[in-house]
Amino acid sequence: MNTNVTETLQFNCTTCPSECLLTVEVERDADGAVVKVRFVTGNSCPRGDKFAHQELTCPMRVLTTTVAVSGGDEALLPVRTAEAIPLALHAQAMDLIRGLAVDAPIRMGDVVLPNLLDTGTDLIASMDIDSA
Amino acid sequence: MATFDMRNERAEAGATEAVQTQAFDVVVIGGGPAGMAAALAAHKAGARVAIVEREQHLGGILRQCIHPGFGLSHFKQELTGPEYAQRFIDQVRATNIALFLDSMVLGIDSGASTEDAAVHTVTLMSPTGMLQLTGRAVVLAMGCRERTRSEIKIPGSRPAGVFTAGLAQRYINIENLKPGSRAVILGSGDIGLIMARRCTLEGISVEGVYELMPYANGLRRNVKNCLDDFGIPLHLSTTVTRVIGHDRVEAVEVSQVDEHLAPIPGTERVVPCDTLLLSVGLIPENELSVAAGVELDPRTRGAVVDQNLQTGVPGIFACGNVLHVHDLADNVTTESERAGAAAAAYALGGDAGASAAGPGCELTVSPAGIAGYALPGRITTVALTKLNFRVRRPVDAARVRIIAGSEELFAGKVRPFKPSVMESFPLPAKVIQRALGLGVSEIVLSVDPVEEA
Repeated sequence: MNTNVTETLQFNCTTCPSECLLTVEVERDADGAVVKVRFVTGNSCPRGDKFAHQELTCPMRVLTTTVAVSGGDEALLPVRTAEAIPLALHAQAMDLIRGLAVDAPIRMGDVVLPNLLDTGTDLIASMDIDSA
Repeated sequence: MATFDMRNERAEAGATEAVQTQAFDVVVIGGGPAGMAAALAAHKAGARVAIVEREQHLGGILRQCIHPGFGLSHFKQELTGPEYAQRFIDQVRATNIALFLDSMVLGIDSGASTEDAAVHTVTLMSPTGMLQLTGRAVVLAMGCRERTRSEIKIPGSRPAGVFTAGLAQRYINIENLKPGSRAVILGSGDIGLIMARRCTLEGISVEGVYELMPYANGLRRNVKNCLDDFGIPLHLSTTVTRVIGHDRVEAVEVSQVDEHLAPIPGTERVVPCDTLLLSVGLIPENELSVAAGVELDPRTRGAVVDQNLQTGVPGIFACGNVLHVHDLADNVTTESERAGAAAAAYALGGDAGASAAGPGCELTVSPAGIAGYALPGRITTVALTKLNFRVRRPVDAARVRIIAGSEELFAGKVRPFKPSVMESFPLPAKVIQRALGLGVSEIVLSVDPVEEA
């Protein structure tokens, strides 16, 4: 009755500049969902193992983009999510962020939008923008 | 305003030699990551320091690199480019380092000779007029610029819509301009990959990334996070062979290439698009250096330097992308801190500093095998020396060898090498001593592929 299939994947860990090439064996159910990450090799530190598990269940990425500034000495404020958020939410987050505007001055780390899409993660300023 | 009036009076008097001069120990040209790190290191060493920056703000190209991936080695956390820059801007602002922003350097030692030959003169045009800054040491930190369409000679018409990837990045991230709606990207360098993701997020569809070589040129993290995440195809061994369109790009023709990188007839495919982004390499921006008499290495297109990052012109140092193109800003910082500290030591050391090279050590360093370059090109001190190099093609198994004359002085362990990664190798003092003992004038850094057992 067990229709699960085992698959071997290769991808790079992006936690640090070493970019270890990971070989990962995963067990998927009939719908293709990951049931279990069986083993991870190729990582030179424990972070690779953690990364592989996360990557196969819910890949997380920091989202960066820009927000319009009024009254600043730059037209755009670079922003980031304070922590990585699910990659699957990036397109929806962009739709939301596109409509935002902020007033100068802004300091790096200022919260531009709290709790982005209920992720518990804030959208924050990446740089100072002074008044024009 | 007062300054402007003064200048007019001077012009009427015809006294060109009355250009205002300010004295420093170290003058840093460029306010990006290299310039800021060099200036901070020189300041820390006790030097009076000035930074000249042509833009209105410090930060350089990091201001438009809004993506994460910076700071993993220097700050032990992942930062965006602007965050990485802001941390250094804050440090610079907390010092008395003099800032000349919106100011373009016109020349180094190009005007009338100073009374003291050991002092360099940097002539610049600032918003208040022409200025001269003097310093015993100058640090070149001007960065690099992008190769353009004319440098890779893509045939076809010349419509609007062909941009270097970094220019499109500036339009989107700084100037709030949209370069087009449907893009093709030529070149899988990091900027091209980053822009594939950035365009996609901003609603500009990316048809694909095309790469002449049979491998991706950017970092693996960027291929994964910028292409794989968005299902953007990477076409290897394929290039753009024609630009189509009259007023605006309407399409590009792409062709597969053979092992000699020549387009294969019959493989042409027309890809409709309105924008072509080029990410086809970077060139150190060295016009000022050459005009100042600095010798360049044809391999890096940056200055030939010694282990202290001093160029062939005493007192002129170079660091960051103007010296050789780096893949990580963190490495630029590390290198530039060395250059800034060495520049300060030179400037403050008096004549002793100038002639501290000592007798008996004058070695050139040359690349061999698949090493594309070796830096520094000269070694004048017997001490642990950091060598940087980059391979010309990817290999699964190769080793670094240090050779002097016919003797192998060192052989590293076998490991893979990629052209996208700038490698560093600590050359032990005893290896330099052995080379000198052999009576040679050159040591060779060779990266040699190893047949797998």
